[in-house]
Amino acid sequence: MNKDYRWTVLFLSSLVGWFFWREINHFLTPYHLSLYLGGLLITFGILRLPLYSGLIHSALVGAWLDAAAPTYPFGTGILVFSLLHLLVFTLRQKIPHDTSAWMILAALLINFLLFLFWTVYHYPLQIDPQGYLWRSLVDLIISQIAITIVAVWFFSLQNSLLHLCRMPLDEDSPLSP
Amino acid sequence: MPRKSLFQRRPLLVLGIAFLVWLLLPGIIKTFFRSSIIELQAPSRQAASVVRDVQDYWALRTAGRNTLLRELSDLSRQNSYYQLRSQRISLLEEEIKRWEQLYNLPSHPEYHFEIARVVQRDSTTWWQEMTIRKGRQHGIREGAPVVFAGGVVGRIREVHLATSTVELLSSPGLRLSARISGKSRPLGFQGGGNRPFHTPTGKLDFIPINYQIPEETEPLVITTGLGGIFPEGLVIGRLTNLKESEETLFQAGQVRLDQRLNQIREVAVMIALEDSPQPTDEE
Amino acid sequence: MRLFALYRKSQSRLKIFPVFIAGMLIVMIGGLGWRQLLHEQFYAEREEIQHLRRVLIPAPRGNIFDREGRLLVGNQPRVSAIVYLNELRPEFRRQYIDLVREYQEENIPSQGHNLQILARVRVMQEYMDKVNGILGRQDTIDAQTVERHFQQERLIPFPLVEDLHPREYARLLEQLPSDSPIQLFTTSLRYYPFGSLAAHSLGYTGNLNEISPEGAPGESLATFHIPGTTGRSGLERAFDDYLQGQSGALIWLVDPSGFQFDLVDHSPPVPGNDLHLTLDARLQKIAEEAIGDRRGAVIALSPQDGEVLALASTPGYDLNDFVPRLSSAAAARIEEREAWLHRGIQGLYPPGSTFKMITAMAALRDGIIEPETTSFCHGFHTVGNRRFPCHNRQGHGEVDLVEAIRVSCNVFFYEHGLATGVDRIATESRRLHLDQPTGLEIPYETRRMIIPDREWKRQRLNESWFPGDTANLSIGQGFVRLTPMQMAAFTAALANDQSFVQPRVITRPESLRATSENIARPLELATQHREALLQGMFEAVETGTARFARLDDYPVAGKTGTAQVRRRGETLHMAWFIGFAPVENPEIAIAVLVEGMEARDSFAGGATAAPIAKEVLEAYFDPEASDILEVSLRP
Repeated sequence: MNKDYRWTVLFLSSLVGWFFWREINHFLTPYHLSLYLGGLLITFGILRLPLYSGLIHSALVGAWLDAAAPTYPFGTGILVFSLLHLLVFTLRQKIPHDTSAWMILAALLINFLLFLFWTVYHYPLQIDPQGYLWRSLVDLIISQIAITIVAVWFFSLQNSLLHLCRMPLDEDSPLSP
Repeated sequence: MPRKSLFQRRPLLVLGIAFLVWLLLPGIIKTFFRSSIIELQAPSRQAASVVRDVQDYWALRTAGRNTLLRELSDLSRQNSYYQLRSQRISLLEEEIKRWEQLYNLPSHPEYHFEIARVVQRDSTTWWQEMTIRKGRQHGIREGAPVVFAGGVVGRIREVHLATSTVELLSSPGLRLSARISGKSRPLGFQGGGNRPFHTPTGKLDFIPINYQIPEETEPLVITTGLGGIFPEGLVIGRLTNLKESEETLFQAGQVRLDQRLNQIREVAVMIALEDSPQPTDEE
Repeated sequence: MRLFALYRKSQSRLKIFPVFIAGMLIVMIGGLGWRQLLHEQFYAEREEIQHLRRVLIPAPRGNIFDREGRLLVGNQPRVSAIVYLNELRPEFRRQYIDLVREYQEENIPSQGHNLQILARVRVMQEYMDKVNGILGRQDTIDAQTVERHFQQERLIPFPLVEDLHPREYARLLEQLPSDSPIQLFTTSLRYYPFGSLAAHSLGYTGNLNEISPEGAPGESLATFHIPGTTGRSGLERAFDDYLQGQSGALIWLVDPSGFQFDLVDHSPPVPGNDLHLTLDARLQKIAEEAIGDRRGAVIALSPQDGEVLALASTPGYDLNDFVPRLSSAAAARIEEREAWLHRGIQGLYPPGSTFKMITAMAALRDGIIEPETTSFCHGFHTVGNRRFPCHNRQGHGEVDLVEAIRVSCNVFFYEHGLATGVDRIATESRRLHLDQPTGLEIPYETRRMIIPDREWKRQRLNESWFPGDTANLSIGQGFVRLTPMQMAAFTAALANDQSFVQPRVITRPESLRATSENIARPLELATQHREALLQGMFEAVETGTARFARLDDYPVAGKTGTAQVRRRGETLHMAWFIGFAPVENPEIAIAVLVEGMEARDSFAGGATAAPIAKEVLEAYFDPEASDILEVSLRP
């Protein structure tokens, strides 16, 4: 178990995803819109990696996103991502987690749960709750649309990187190139 | 059957223990960890910013000669205008200094303006901030006011080696002492978040109950200079409407911020001259 | 075995036990059902009372405006830096653990309870230090205050620094993070834009630790009060209920420790009602400035409806000194200057020669004199073997009524006053309601005015009434004591040909206006008699003793008076002026009293009081001439 370093490759792919996500947000800012794709970054790790290395990946992504977040203590994201990882991991045996449609659905669900958590977490800080909820709803919708569009590409990217690094998944994946 | 590790048998328990360890970890380790991540992220942010600059450069390169000539002509006209304004301002500043000395008035703190490119705009549902391409090595200090041509942009929230994070005026976490132009009473401004496709707004508190917005114009809301961070007279926005607050002693007002706030490419960080690093003799 | 046998043997008797237990169970179940089903409401209420707490929030008091809508009394925010103890509980716990460890390491014996207190104080001091750092203060936390607040008022915010200056709260606002446990908390304080203007009449407020719960929800709940204010004097006191507003309430669901858990209900406070006065702030200011540093009162009112336009009493005090509370130094200053007294309605003075108008009215009404009746003034009048002097020692010669009023001849009034008699003069005074308070809405109007007569002297001094007493009474000296407000009301009544004009200071709401129990009746003085009185007053202003009150454009009727009072072995002079203008269709009636403080104050009605009246009358008739109002804003 300790020799499974696939999480490093996945983390690198997550950084690529994070880079593009951040750039899109930069250009969306003038319209007062933003994407949240945290769920997309960790879905592959949850559904396809063993528990230990997947959890390391999720925690690292959480830490990476936590570092730049100004509104909550560093570590909150690590905990939330890890808990969510465990929750979905326990369910993954009950769903066909290696088909692309289910993976997209899972990404949408994970992203929704994370978005919901952060929205509730930040709600008490708002002085215009109505505007905040309206903005949250719009951001959630465009985030989910964005995930639906890019998820297949992103999962393929992650899978390809694993193959490139000679660290393939244990079973053949329909997403494999 | 291979024996399962504790992690496999009790993953939640292990996570709980890990979390407890994390909680008990000295703050300095967490800060170090976090700072390291931010410094790791910095090059990618700067790279993206440089790429955008290159894009802009090539976009400009494609402009026709006539366009460039026209721009140049406009620019030289504006330059002349601003040179005149600058001379006028210098004269006024001297005049103010003379009066201050005459009446023994405390002189206003002077600021050095550190111009910085915006590397990253990060205006999410939960926070509004931007990253600028100037940091500790450029003398930027935490809490320093950040301004642009339209007034206040925000305040430096965090300073890293070569970048800094600016908490935007629209962020609910930012509060400052403001007043309505023409009035002296200090009021409280707080960022109000961003509704999609709307101009950013803020909230003005402690407005006296008998105050009414003049019909002819929406009054300017400016900084008071009393709060100790922002100097006096910087534009925050315009007061658009009023509503009675729950305390019934005051009204609360909505402030419309500059719509360019989320499109800014360049800002100026105001560094109080007494705070700025002094050049050493060797230099 | 033996025991078993014994059991079997006594089985028949033991059978009673299951029956007994079954009976008990039925009673228990029945009782439980009865309590659960029939008394459900009662227990629900009990539970509510145990778990809910109410915090009452004072409402901002209503404003007070003058007749032109100028704000005389308003509210200003009082900003404090506070912390909610509830939010600091995790820090209290952490600090307590650190302290226990610290004490254990150093082997210091200590009780857990003391350490808990110390932990709380330390945490609070940390927050105080944050505030100190921003504001440059050196404040410290008092352990007893913290503990008392923690034990008794834990639902109420704990004030770290109260009454912050705008510059201070601006700094806190800008430099404290928006999610800091230190918050800015605002309550309302009284604010007097004109400082000392009409201070006695407006009144001041004092702190009230338990505000009224009336109208607030949750009356059965344990209640905490955020301190408010209550009217302590003047109109603030008289109309406290009206101005007070309705307290707001926060209903908190509390945890077993009694700290906030969830806000169940919130009813915002309803501000108090506004009061609109008849006072004219501009005229009031002019009246107060005209009397200046001297002690006394100036009252101007409308003769038609009794609306008081100005009601000045000096020396006064700055009402803003009472906000948030009067310092002992300021209280001592007020005491030293004898400024607490509202001289307009509480000061009792002999009315001096202004009372001659009442003597004349009594004599005319009963036919003792006619306007043409004359007397010869040698400069004194002898009653028995005692000489009563006139203020002109050379004598006025032959004077009729008009001339007697013009020159204020004592001898004329001694002679005809004695002929009229004390009974008729006292009756006339009562007809004019001078024996009772005017009924102005301002509280604590004195009831100790004196219209002396035989009965009064017998009861009070156990002495007979002498002719000398009548002579003194005829010129407003001796035992008679009246307030400036009574003299102003009398002047208004004379101007309006009424026996009484009800003075009032409230315009809105009408329901609060003073209604006179003394139904005003016509003066019922023969026309030629009243005209003679008015002619005398007019000539007094034109060429007589009251000439310093003369206006160029408006005819003024007036009467001066100078009374002497023996106080602390000295003879003090009280300068009076009463009058109205214009003589035909009067618009304003005025009474001025200036109180001599020392024997060397040679105050006289004509020289001292009449010029004050002139300033007020001029300002009334030429409102454009001076707008001297300056609003003193709280720094």
